Amino acid sequence: MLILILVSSLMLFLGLFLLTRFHFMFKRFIKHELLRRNIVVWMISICLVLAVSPTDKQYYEMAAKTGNWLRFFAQQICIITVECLFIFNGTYLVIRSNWVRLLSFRKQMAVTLVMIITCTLLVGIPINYLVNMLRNKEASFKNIDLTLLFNFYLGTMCGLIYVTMSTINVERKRILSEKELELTRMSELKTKAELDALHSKVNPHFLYNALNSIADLSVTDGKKARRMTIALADLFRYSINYSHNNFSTIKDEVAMTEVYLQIEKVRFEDQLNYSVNMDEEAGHYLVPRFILQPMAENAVKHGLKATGKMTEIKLEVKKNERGLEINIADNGPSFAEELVPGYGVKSVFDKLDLLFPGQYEIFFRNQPRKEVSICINKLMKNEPAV
Amino acid sequence: MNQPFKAIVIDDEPAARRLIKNLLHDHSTVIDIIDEAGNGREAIAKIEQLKPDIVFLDIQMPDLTGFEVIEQLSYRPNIIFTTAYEQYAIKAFETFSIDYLLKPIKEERLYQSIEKLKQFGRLNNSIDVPGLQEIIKQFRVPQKATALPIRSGDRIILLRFENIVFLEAQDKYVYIFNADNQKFLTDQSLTALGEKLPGQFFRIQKSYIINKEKIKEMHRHLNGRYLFIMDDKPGTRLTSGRTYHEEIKSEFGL
Repeated sequence: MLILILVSSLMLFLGLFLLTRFHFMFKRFIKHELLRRNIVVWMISICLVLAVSPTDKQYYEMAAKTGNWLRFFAQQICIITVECLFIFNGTYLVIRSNWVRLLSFRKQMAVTLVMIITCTLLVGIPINYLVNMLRNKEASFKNIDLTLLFNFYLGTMCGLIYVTMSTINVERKRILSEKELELTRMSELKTKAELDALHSKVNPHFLYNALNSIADLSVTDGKKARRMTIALADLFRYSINYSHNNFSTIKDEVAMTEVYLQIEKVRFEDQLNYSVNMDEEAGHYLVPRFILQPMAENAVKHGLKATGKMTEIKLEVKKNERGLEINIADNGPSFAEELVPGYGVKSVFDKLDLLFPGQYEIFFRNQPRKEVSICINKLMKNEPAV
Repeated sequence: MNQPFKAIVIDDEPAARRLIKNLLHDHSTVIDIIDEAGNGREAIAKIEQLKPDIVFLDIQMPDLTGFEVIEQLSYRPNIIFTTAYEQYAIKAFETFSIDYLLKPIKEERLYQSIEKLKQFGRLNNSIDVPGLQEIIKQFRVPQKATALPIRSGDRIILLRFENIVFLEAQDKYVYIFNADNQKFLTDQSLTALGEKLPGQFFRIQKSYIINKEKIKEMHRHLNGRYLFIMDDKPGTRLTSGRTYHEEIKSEFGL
């Protein structure tokens, strides 16, 4: 009895083991895929049927008579071989045909299930007939109703196992490819943003214009020329030595933007004024590096469009309960409803998308005053390790 | 000796104007700076009024570009462009052999132009602005729109194309849905929005435009309709209109 249980359990485990390894088993030895699958399916069926054999009444009847015992197994194996080959190949033929492969996954599964059940029933009838013939020495369809019911259950069971496995497989593949896609997208974005960050640092147009101003100031106003040279050096030091830091404290960002605005103020002498207002407690939080300067540059450009009046740039940084709020206001003409983001705004979006995905908002507002607001809904003091 | 050429310097930066004036100071027998202007409008008014022989013209100014200034002039003076970084404009100037100065301005280059002026009495014949701009356009990679501006109360929000999943028309309004299934309302019509959106957006029904890059699954449905399952949080299901059958078939290569 103990041996029986042991052998049955062993068979069950072997069968289940083969089932889980269905897609890889013998792949190296048997090149022909259909043949390989047939063999594996056959092995699985043998194992499982042998495992459940002791639940069959006939088994004990046969086992009582020595000698019949082996015959019973031989018979079982023959029946299984025929059954599983017929069911597997019949189903395989149908689900691999072109019209089924074009159906949606659910429909494919339904077709497979129906096919397995039909094939099981179909093969059950002649086998019932043969078994009757062998055992009772007379050909008849005795017990056909029971056989059909049994085969229906068997087919449904096999079919459901197949459907479950396929679903798990599909789901796993989907998750895998999704992850892969996400990863490539991330690294792509990362390199892209890093490249962009490098390129978008300081607008070359601004650099050459500033140098042109210095060329004049060096003769007309030496002190101003010196101040401007130093400011320009600070700005470029900040932008060139970025050494893989994607983040910067808002304090540094504001300081650099101020340096930038100082230069612009020298360039446009009596046409430009600016004010900076930062909550002291906000200063230590991190933001993407170089997001403020492009916004300030846009504000200067927009502000100067309204010629004949003093351009006022206001930069505010506030800490609120949700995070940081940065406002950059200018008194130039209103934002157009058909706003087209330029290179600066795009680079700010890119950096925020990369470093604060889903945690930021950018608004353009004309009322009560014209300003751009960047809200970062996350307070971060230490740069996350990448 | 002839009368010196009358010149006007146009630049939005006072220092830049001063630089040219100072550099030309030693050549006052050839060029006499009679005035200057700090923006496009002022420039047009002063050129029309003073009719200078030569104009030093900055390209990038806040209100108008140098090209726009020339287009609006009825009077055609000699032009020397000054520019900091317009690489495409420079290529175009070379093509048309138009005089230009790069900032920071080199004295030698400036004196070359003056020599030329002294010798021939004038620089270039006339500047063909549309032709010039055509060439600049060819050189420059066109700046593509990347986001849709949407008015929401007193704010304008930019919805980046890659974040838009689909647009749904309801009565006179259109709802725009992003991947988190947040919706944004706009009073622009679906057709008008469709024209602003790039090729990745595709109309599948009278009241739906979808982002092709945000389709998770696509199934055949009855009557030549298709079922689209979108790649957003709830996995929104949208059915295409029957009349869009052919377009969808060719669009997706079915």
